[in-house]
Amino acid sequence: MISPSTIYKPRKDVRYRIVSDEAVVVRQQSTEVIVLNEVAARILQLLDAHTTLSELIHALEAEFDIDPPQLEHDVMGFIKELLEAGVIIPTVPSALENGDVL
Amino acid sequence: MSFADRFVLSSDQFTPSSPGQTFGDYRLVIDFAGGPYGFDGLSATQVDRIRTRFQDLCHDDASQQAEVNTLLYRAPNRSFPDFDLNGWEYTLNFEYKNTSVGIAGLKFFAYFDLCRNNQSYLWTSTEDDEYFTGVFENYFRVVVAYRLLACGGVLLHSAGVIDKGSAYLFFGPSNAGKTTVSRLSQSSGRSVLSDDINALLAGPAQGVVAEKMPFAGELGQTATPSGAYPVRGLFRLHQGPHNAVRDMRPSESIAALVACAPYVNADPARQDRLFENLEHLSAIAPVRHLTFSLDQPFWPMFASED
Repeated sequence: MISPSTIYKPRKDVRYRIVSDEAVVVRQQSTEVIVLNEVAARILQLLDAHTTLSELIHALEAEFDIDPPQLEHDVMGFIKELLEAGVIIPTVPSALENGDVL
Repeated sequence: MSFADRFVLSSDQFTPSSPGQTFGDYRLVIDFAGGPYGFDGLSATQVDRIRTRFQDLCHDDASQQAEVNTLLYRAPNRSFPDFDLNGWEYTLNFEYKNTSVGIAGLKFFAYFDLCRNNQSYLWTSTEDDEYFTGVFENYFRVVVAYRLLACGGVLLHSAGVIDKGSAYLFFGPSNAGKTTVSRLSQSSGRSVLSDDINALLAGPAQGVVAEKMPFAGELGQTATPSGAYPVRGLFRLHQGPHNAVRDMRPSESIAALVACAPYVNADPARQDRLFENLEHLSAIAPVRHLTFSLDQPFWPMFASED
């Protein structure tokens, strides 16, 4: 369950670079590399700045010309994808993986 | 717990401040992209094995200054556990720090100090048995990857082919078709640098060059002369029913290249440098997808670009 009050953050082994508004994301433990589009790249940057999902959605509303309900839906979708790809984790102690710290 | 536990019984015994005994007093210098690379503390047997493996790249002038110096030390055989290698995929273990890299593998442990004049320490129990050449090469590939990164380049899992004096690098993971493309290129009269790994570096006049590495895959070492060849094309390999070339977005290019930059692409302390190098190189030499078919020659597609 993705909660708007939760803070998500990149995993410890994730490094990324913004290239032409997109993000090149490297998961170093597995050396998997993925590319995120402009909105997902911005989401990752905001998560990296310890933003809650609520704050993140407000920030994106100001930056992108997207209908707010649609934006929230899209953000939740991106968060789910980033979680499934192992790029981010919730900063909730019970959900932390081995080796990750708050 | 140590990163090296899989390969050594106790990594505490391997410290640069108390490295132990060398194998001998011989020094050898090997020179190619990113080098020269110097090795001290060798025995005569080890020198013979390295010369046999690296041949013309070995310099007789042992006083030559090197960009990376490695000291070899003898470790007791009991330092390294025995392995049953059947069905086992061999990968090295690393410890990444801001100023150094620890490397552990079969019958060796190494410490690469990236600050003190690239001084490196290699401990092994092997000298004249079948393991030594393998130990040396596995260690050396890592050192070269870090050295090329420091030079603004990258060691790229790729097939390097020379056509009319220019280099084309076809890169991709295992089974992407690097050796196949190398064989197809050879059979059409072109020469191959390596079918496994090549150096990509910023060249003169703001160009990008490819240099031959003494590391090869199934094809083995080729007779193509060493040197810096201007790069005409960088292609991420795919196999398919029809030949096709497709442009890549800049982010795709960087992602594809990072995935094929061994060793350094897993190092968190060097990731920014890798991104920087690849952004610079791919801005000069555009990266594209190449889908190639086994049934049609793909080289004629590039003829129109001449």
